[in-house]
Amino acid sequence: MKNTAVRILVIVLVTLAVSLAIYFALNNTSLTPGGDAPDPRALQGTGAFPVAGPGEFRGGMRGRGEGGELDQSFSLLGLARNLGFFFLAALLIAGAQKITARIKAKRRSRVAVG
Amino acid sequence: MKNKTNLLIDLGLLAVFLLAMEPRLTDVPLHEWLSLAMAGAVVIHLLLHWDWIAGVLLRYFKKLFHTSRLQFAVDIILFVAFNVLMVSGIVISKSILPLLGIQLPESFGWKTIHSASANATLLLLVVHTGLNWKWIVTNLKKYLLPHRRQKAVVSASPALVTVENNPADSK
Repeated sequence: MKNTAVRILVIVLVTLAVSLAIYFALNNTSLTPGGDAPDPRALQGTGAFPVAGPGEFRGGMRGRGEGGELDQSFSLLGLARNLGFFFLAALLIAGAQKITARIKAKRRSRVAVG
Repeated sequence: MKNKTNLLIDLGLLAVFLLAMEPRLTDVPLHEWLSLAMAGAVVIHLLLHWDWIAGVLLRYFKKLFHTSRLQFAVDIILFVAFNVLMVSGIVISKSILPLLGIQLPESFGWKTIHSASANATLLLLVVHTGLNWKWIVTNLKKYLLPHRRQKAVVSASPALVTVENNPADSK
């Protein structure tokens, strides 16, 4: 029990140290100058960049709505995409590992025969 | 039993992470609370793998299997990426921080860092899963699909019996 408490404390302290280091390393740098991006709705029609309005769908861009039907379906699509990517890529890595292990085993057996 | 707990926590973590990757689906408040719960689950995950972490850390620069080294390096980068994700998430929080009475100025830069680190974390999580694939599949079959595993054993056993009872072998 005491051991577990010490381990939790170590994990929390390491996480806190890393988090603080990240925060102070990134805060107020050129990456995080402060201030928000211009409101896309304010830029609509100015030609600054092609921005879709709430619930709008314009030429492949996501509608910047407030959780409308379009947003929901896009989110489900995103979830499916992430899930698919996750399992396909993990399978690929596992397959690559298997192939590497086989090649190594073959090489070892050749050396043993030699 | 420990493996089953590990597996269930890992599956839960994966489900919550993928769900939290789509804040439009969950809405921002749920996205933030899910992420916070995920951070707690990560602490439990690390706690359950403490022996492996400590073992590899102590022997990292001595002789060690390459896979363990690669796994450890990936895990360290994943830990840092996850921390960047959590820190940037807290900085741009719209639900949890205001609840605590803390109001930080909005920053587009932190939002960019948040999405970039989310993508990096997903990528590293994929590598982490791929490197532990064998363990995942073995334990999935053992705990979540025991029926299928039993079937495989039964279908394999007649062949074993035939081999054992082959009269040619007794000669």
